Amino acid sequence: MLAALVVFVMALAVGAYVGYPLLFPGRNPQVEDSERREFELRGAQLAGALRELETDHSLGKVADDDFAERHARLAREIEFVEQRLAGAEPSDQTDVDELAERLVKARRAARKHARSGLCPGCGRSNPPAARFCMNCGSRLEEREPTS
Amino acid sequence: MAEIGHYSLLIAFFLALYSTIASFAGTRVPDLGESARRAALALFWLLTIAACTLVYLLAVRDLTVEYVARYTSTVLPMSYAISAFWAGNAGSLLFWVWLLSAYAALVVRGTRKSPSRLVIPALGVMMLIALFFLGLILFLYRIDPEMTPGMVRDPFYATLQVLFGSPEGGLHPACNPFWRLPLRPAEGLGLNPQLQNPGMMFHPPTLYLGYVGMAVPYAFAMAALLTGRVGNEWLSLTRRWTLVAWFFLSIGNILGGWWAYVTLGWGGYWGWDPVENAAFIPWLLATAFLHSVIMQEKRGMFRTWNMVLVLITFVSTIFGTYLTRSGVISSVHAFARNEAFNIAFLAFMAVALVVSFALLFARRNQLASENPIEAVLSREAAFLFNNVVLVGIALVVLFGTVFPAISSAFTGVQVSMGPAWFNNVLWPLWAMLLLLTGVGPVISWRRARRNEFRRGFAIPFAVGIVVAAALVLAGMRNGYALAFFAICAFVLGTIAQEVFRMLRTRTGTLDSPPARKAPVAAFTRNRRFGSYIVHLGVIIVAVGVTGSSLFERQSDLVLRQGEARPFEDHVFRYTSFRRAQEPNRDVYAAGVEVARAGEVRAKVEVVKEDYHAEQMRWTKARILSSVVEDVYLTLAAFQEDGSAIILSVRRIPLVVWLWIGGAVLVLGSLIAMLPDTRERVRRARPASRTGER
Repeated sequence: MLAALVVFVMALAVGAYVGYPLLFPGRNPQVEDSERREFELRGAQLAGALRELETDHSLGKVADDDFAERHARLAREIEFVEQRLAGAEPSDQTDVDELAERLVKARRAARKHARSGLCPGCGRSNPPAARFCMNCGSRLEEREPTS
Repeated sequence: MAEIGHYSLLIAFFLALYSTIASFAGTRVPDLGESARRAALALFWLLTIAACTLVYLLAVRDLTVEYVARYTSTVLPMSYAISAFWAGNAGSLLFWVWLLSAYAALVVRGTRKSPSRLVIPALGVMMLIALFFLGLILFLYRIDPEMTPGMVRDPFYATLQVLFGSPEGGLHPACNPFWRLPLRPAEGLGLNPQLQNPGMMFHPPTLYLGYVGMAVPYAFAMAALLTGRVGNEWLSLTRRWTLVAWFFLSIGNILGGWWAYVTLGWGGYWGWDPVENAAFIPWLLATAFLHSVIMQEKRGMFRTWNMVLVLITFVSTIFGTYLTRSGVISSVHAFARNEAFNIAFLAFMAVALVVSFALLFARRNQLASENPIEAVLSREAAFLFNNVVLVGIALVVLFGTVFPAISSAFTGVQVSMGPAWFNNVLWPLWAMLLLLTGVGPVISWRRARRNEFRRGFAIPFAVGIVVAAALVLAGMRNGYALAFFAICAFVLGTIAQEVFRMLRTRTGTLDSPPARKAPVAAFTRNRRFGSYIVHLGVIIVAVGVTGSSLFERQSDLVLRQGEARPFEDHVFRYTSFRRAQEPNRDVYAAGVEVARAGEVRAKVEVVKEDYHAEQMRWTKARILSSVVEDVYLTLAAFQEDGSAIILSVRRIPLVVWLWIGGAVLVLGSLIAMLPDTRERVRRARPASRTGER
């Protein structure tokens, strides 16, 4: 009998606790300023990635040209995040994930372009392994189209 | 009291059902999402009540409860009675789901302020897993012909009896730890003497913490696939959870090895036993995952592969639980006896695999790699090889584990895959993996140029050659041992060189006081520094394994009382015999004096024990440890009057380094888990410049 009573009280307490947000909507602790928090987290991640990149470079694990390119990319993303955190609205309403996704797409496109051997500058066809255009000398591999 | 536990589980089941639905529906409705979070917390408290109830029942030895009667006795010491929580099937499943609810509660608490839209669906996945385990505990039953329906006293099962009962007997839950027997037995069956060891108190809980912990990254990966947010968000949210799970899996495996080592008859610290393998496979896969994650974070590569790895790691933890609990490998008859349990587990694994892979397939276009592998001599390729080798080892171990069961099921012929088979197949893979442990952290990203390659590997390579030459000069002729020790020396060289270079370049940029520069330089890169320590641990373990497995010697000495006999440079004297009666066992102990170079090194007692309730005789090893070798003594046989004994002596070199290496590895993973100092500063001042260096 005692056990039945305990079980009943338990079920009641659980029901009340779980049902509270539905019975009193709007009283729940909402995540405050979630967009700001999202940018802060993203900023911390990017800063961490930058630190790692710098450590790798200082230990000679990343070639200079590769370092410059990746550093610039991270710096661009960090700048974007900082702008949003400072309250300045960039010209378009892109969110940070979209930006990252766009950069990834651009990079893939650039790689594809490089593999095809077509020079993004003059349009001349080059051997697949070429890193610079044989006609105009433009860099084939790491160029990213602006978007 | 048992009723409170049982009905807590029943409420928990419906709560998990509600939380699953609310989580998946609550991604768009914040109030429903909040309710789902609360349900997850309430689930944890309910299961804590159930777990505490079982601990109480075990502690007071309430023998009317079947589980208590089956795994304890009134004479069993209290610590082992409580450890019986995870000794049997029903208790283990409760422990599993309780840990899962604890992880879920921690996720809920830890993400209170997280804006991530992955948390609620991930919670839904965890609740779904909890639902399966709770369903198994509550609703899986068998027909017991010795029980009449009238004997079923519990109203819940009495109702089920009316609905699904059979004239052939009463309903008997297959794995409910709160099931009451119709009659109270006079005495419990007691705990298997093999399990009456301190290892029993720590090994299963840590292993389960590791198993269940892998559900968190899996849940977030599934949430990422469900919501389409398949970027790096799920990885950064789960990095520490994966490390926590890996940390506990490592401790669990090391403790398991230690327990098997000190327990006679389990084939030393690693006997390639199916249950050992079941714990090792998830560790291998989780290790591969921890490495391949770095590729996605740094280079945007292996995005699909990471999903695949986390998925199969999770399924392997379920498989491990299943293998340990079902007994399907050690005894084919267990399969027929507990058919519903087997079908339920296999079906759960199959559904998890099919659904996960279907989701993965649906999102395949979003998971394309950002960069290709450009050269064979590159960090990217080294990580790929590392993953291939680790997964390869896991597959070999899996094959060796399940093949005997499959073979006997189809052909009726029992095939045994013993340690020799595993060692023969795996040694080249181990050698390759060790080599990659040295190569991976040193080689450059994208493409290693010749001068960088020389600069990175010249010194470690020389260290490896010098050590091999020194060992040859010292008289070592075993080719395997030479190769492994040389590789270990090479990897040690790379680690020392990397740590030195990291500290040198980093201390130059710090403005801390000179004495604090090195620690600050290391602990502001915890992840990197921790990984070096983990690799160091792996190498120390490899030295221990190589030494102990290739150079063990053994001898059986027949000794009359007072007599002494030598084995190599040690002399063993049988000095005394003692017989003692304890509440749960009779103890036979022979006193042995161990001397070296005329000096007594130790006086020990080698012991055999007769357990009354369990009706088993058990031998306990006595081990004299040193950094060079262990002297492993056991009482092989004795005359009842104590006039003579057979003393088994094994000399196992370097084995102590296995435990030291294990401790170093665990310490390294702890360091890797810590947030960097800079990270802590940044969290304290969130408005500061996030991009500062």
